[in-house]
Amino acid sequence: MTAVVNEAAHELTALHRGRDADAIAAPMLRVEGVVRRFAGRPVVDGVSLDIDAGEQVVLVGPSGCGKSTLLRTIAGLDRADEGRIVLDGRDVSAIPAERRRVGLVFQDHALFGHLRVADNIAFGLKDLSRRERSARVAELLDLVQLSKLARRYPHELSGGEQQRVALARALAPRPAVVLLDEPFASLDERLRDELRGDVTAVLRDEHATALFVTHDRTEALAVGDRLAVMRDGRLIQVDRPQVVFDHPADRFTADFMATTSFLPAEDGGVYAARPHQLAVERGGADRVISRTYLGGGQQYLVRRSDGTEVVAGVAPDGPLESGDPCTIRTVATLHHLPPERGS
Amino acid sequence: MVVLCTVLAAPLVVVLWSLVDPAGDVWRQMWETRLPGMIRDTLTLVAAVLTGTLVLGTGLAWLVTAYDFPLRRVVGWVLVAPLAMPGYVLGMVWLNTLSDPLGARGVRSIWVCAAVLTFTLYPYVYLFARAAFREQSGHAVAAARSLGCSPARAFWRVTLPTARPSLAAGAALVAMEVLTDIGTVRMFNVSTIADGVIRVWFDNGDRDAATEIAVLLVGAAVLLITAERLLRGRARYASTTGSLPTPPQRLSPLGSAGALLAAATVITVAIALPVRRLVLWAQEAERNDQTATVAGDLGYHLGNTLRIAGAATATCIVAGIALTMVVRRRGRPGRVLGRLCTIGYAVPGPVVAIGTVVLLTTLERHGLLPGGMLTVGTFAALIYALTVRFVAAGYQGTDSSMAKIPPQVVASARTLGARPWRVATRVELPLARAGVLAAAALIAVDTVKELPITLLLRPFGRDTLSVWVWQATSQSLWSQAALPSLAILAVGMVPVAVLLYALERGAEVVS
Amino acid sequence: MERDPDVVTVYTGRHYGIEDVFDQFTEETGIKVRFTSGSDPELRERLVAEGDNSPADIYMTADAANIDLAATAGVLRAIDSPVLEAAIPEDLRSADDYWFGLSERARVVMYSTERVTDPPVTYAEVGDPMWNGRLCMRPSTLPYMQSLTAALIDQFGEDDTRAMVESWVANDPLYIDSDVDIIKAIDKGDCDVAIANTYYLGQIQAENPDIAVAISWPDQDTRGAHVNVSAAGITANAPNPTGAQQLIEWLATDGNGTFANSNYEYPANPEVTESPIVAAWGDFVANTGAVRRLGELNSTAVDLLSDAGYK
Repeated sequence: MTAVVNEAAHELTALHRGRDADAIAAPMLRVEGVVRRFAGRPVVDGVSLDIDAGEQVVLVGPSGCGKSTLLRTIAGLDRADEGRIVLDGRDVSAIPAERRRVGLVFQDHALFGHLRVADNIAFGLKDLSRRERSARVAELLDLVQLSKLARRYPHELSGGEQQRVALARALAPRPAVVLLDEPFASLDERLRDELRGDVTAVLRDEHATALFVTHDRTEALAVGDRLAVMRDGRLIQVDRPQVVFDHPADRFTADFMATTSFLPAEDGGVYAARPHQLAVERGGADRVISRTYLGGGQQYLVRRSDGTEVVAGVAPDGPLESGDPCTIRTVATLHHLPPERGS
Repeated sequence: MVVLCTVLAAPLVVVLWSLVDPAGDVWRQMWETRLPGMIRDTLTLVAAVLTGTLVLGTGLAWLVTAYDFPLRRVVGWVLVAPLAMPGYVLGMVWLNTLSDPLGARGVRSIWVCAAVLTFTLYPYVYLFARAAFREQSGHAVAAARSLGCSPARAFWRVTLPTARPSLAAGAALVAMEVLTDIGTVRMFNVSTIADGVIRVWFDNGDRDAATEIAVLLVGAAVLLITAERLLRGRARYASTTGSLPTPPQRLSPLGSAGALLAAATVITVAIALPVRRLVLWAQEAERNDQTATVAGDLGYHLGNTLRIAGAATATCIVAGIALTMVVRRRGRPGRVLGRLCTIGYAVPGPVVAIGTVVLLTTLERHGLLPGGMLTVGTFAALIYALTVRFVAAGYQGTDSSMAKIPPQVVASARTLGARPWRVATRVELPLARAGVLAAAALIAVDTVKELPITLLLRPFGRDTLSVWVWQATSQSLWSQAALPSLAILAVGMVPVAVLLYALERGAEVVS
Repeated sequence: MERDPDVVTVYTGRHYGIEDVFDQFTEETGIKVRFTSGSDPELRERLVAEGDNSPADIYMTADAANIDLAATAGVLRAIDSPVLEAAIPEDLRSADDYWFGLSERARVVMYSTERVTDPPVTYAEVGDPMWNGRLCMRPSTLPYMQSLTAALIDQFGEDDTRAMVESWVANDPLYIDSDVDIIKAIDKGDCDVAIANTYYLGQIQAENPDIAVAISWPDQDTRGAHVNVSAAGITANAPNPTGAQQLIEWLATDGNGTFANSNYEYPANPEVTESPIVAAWGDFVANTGAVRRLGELNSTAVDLLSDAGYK
């Protein structure tokens, strides 16, 4: 089943790009059927994913879904139990991390505290001559706008600056792919937005191929050319962010990407409705339970006459109070999901 | 603060006071004959033991943190056990066991002595290194690997440098122990500066010249510590925000066998074989019924060891906590002063002992000691001297643990109306509990093993296990020394176990 | 401090079997003895430091120099005892009645009966080049070595003694910090000749009569073998001087046999018979004349040993 879904995802991707599936240029990173088990249990359960050169892909999923493990496997820090990893045309499945040419950026920046910023960045450049090394370090410092801080020690920098050094360090040896594991999670929100913009810009400038991992769905939507949703070790859907948001592949994905209400469909499946697709009108068999102000408008939690709860974001009759009788009406075409196995 | 410091440092000040009237002749004579050799021997010994303990301690710590193999946790604990082995006991065993293979001349060498000290002192480095490795973010090593470092290179270029402060702290402790050792070095004909202090003092009867040499020791200790701090520079080594260390790498059966073999070898050499030899000797003593020659009551000696160790540990901890409390209110100069007050651990036992004797008898002569308290020969005087010697551990342990408490916690308590004393007892101490416990355990082990101060200052009827060992070994009655030696080991295991427990609970052993 | 007339407090640097001796005294007299052991010099330092607060009644040593130095330091008092004066020969007690030797031990040449046919017969001969590499010696930290040197200085003067010690050093001795181990080393073959205390040989022979080590009494044609004494004196501030005197007197008379023979030493009291093992070594000429001077010559001896390069 998984293989079929993944294969379908692959095809879908190709179609969305308007290219013939068989004629795609070789991807920079190809993950093929990777399985990784811990204590008998598969944490990564047959994942396949292609990332093209210069592409930025975001891998999103709840905690414990296996995304960090997948990252470690791609980086070479863990070995896959099954499957292959092909990087820039090379099968690196059996090659240890230090020879894979993969860049890593972590949530906690993991800079070397005993080295200055410049030396941190230069760490992976041992094969270059001194002059080449200095030139490359200067280039990167410039890129992340930290040229003035080259002689500082990591603990003397702010969180955002530290993360930028981490990025520069990862990019310095021109890796085939850069893996970023929740890189912005430890920063406050404003800084996060700022840094996100900077980081993606830098990656584009370097024409770097990147795979972000995050558990934050907002971030997942904002970053990246494509979005891959992961759950229980498997990829559920891989597509452009808009597509995943508007046309989620299953209930979990729908609910994960944003607040979703599920309305029963005749075939036993459901309709997935976002708040802006549901209106709450005065009077009727349904009842308002509570409401929340979200900066753009009110969202109403409503219990319908059949007992299900939905969230509506449109109130054509004006604001309602908790306890008011009301009726739920759809105001847009809802996305339909077929019945799920076992549901 | 001043009172506390004075009390703790007084015996040493007394001893240093003799410097006022420097003894010219003996000094010159020593310089021409013995001093160069002593300095050379001391430096060689310290260098050798430091190398040995750093390699052994760091290597073993790495083995149990980076790799996973069957019985890893147990091995991790057992490797600390040699802490309970006094140098003079291991030395006695090796001297006798190795004099056949190495020859009587060969066994009495500085290298065998260094090996003995290495196997009894490596646990300090091991503990510090293990704590540092556990704390380290696994991400740094992962990043290093992604940047082209093989696991081995990553160890050298990232893990070790990051662990440097801990390793330096462990090394400093080891250096201090080597510098102040009296019993072990003499067995192997190694003449160190500490040994020279004792010789000049007792052989030449020249306490003043002895003191001058002792100052050399303290000076060396201060130099060591200062140098390490300076070398650290601006680089900061602390691990980053709460990320987990790399999960240990599971070893293949062959690798596991290798790891277990390495650990087993160390334990065999440091504990198992010596214990076996001691047991054989003890049985021999039993057979020959030689226990009559030296007071052979195990319960009596054991009780005294426990009493003295218990009292000294309690006093050291209380003094250490008190010192930490006042130092914390004083900022940086306070910390420097705190270090100076506790310099007793850099001074050989006999020097502390005599400083105490002189101090207390002078005070009594001037009528400053009320009602016969603290006079020489009392239990209190002995505990006082032991406190001067070992309080540093209590202070360090409490201080570094308290330093880990986030200031917001203390601030919250204060804003809730608690006065400093309540904050200390109800908030800070409980949070630093594990660190204090670890410090207490280390002090307890030290006092159980301690000899020179106990020998000189013990009251009547308070002979300890270590005194018993001395009484036997001073007459070369090795088999008679065996039973009390085994008892010391057994007793010492209890605080070692407590130490391990405290460390599992998150105690820090380094500042 | 208790002034219990039924207790005598002893600081003793001599502690082999002393508890049994004291127990016997208590049985016979009812007076209890409590003691603390340590090394002679450390106990002396403690006495000096304690001053008049010292609980010690008696200072007992394993070496004459140490007790004489204590007398010089003023921590002992003169004992007026006809009993002691009658029991202990003049040579073995201080001239001014501050301390009394209770047992004699000789520090002599010992050699391997298996490998050595003509052992040294003087201390000087120990320095003969034929013994190069075959010598075991005790380090200079040992009071007995210092006293031996002091006795030699007394007999031969500083210059000759220095030359003698230098000749020992030239033989590259193996320094072993234990007489027992030295004797065992001779037996095992690690060295052939050594200088050690007679009573240690006695201790070993008691367990192993066949040990292949024998005594060569040195300087028999001149002043005789170097002897030292284990001695006792009453402290200047003794809380119980009466009891102390009683104990010392007993140790010099009724208890002298137990005291000396339990450790294979020669009883200082000429009327007491030595133990069979000791008697088996035979008679010898003893240089008892130097005993009184061991204390005053001690620092000269220490310096000389150091100057001569003796470790």
